[in-house]
Amino acid sequence: MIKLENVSYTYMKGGPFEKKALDNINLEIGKGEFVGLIGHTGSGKSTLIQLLNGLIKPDCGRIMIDGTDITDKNTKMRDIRFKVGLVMQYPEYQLFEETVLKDISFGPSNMGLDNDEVKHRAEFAANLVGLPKELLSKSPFDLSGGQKRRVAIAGVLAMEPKVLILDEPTAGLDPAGRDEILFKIKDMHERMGLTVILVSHSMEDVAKLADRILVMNKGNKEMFDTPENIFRNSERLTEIGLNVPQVTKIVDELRRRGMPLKEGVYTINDALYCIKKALSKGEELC
Amino acid sequence: MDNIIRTENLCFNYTDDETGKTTCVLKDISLEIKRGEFIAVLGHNGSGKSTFAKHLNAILTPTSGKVWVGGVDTSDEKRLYDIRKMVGMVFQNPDNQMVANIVEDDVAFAPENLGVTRSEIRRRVDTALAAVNMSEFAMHAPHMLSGGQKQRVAIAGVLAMEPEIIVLDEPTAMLDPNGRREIIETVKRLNKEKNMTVVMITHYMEEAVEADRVIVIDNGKIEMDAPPIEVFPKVEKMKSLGLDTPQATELAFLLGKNGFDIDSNVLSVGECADKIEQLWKKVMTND
Repeated sequence: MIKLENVSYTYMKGGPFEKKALDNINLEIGKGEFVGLIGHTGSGKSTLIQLLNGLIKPDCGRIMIDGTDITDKNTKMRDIRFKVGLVMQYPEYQLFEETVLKDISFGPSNMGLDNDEVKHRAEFAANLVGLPKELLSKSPFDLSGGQKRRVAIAGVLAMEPKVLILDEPTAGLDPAGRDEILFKIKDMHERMGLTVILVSHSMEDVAKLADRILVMNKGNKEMFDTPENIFRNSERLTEIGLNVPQVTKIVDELRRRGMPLKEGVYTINDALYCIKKALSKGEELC
Repeated sequence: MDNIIRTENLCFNYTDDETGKTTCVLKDISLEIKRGEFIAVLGHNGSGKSTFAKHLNAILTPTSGKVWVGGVDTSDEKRLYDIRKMVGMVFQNPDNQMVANIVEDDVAFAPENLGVTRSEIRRRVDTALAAVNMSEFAMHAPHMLSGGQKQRVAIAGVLAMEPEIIVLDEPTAMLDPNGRREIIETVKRLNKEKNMTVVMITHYMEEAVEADRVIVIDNGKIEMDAPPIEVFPKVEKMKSLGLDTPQATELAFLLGKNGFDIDSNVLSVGECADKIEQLWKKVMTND
């Protein structure tokens, strides 16, 4: 679905603040895959998602989205933006319409669809993100923070993109609001077969949802693997300034102290299962 | 006992202008905070915790009940100036708190408005920037700083008023893990070294764990008020309030529920590993 070949990007090229943000990136993301994208500030992850949506163009290299080369001059960027939906950070600040329904309709109505289709898509998207019907006629500014964010996500979904990119969708939400948004994203991914790229600072959130995790560091692809394999390298993750889940640290520490526990544990349930097994059977490795 | 903050039956009602409906945001909150304490306030969105924070420097005043800060009644309008000087507030978004084009000008903004002399402003700005480890950025432009650095400048701006209490409303919500660490370390240092009274509202349990005392607000009422080691082991209660507990605490709790001889009075990786290791050693010696 997405393929990057030798992609590099430099900010303010030739200027005094020139900074190489991405250095020769190669990667492939399959159709319907759920990818978590992690890296500390300045790692290049924001640059990467802006490239995927065509907001910026690479210095060199090729980016293929669903068979189209978006770095080709003849490619219409309009089509790419409809194919790749980007939900930016704090998207609720971008709401502007009188009613929730109008706000969600803004994207699809710019696609040249007829009114019935726009309305149908907007209502469908609202339902997907779990916004009750009675909210659709309200002003988006009267909603709670979590609801506003869902309106913003619905606005992107209503364009029926093939790839959905979310930049820190849970920032600033409380634990209950965070779990709700993450659950909805997972649900949409499964029901619509969407390819999802979730950018997050939270290892816990990403590990719970993603098929594969892409770890960026200083403009380079540091790791791109399943959560289990990623968390086998907890020392390296800490070294490059990322937070490893507390359970991973506990299991790693216990293994150092001699308990027979496997590597790459990253959920509480998995940790519980392993420790229980070790405690009840002694030697057996789980 | 030196209580720098005291509230007595604090209630706050909010009336919607359009519908005329009155909502009770804070209900009968009575508490005392000692000078030099580090308090974390937890609660889900809409629990009333930010409303509570706004009562501490008279941005809001009680509908009924009282709030005293440093012995001053916050509803006494004549003393508003004294209260604002005593309590510095730091908010979520560092970009909304920057007013100048150069870091040191930004920090000087508050003392300038307090009518402090020029040489005293110089001293305060230097001290405040040193306190947040930002001295070397004094002549930088705020918009070129990272989120964590900006938020530290915002804290320096508050420190330049030389307050006795600093109230932070989700100061790390918009920061990455490095930025969050910077802020928490700064706040802890101010508390320990300068004996600053700190009230910090947060969603992050790993930050609340650092406090002397955790106050959990739910539906406008105080649900819990105790040191972290007494609050977080109540895993089921915390979950029912829509809050998290550290994974270390939850893991110990779940092992206990699964019939192992372990209590959930742990907060850190080391403490949790110690307790599980004890179980493991028992299993090994019994074999």
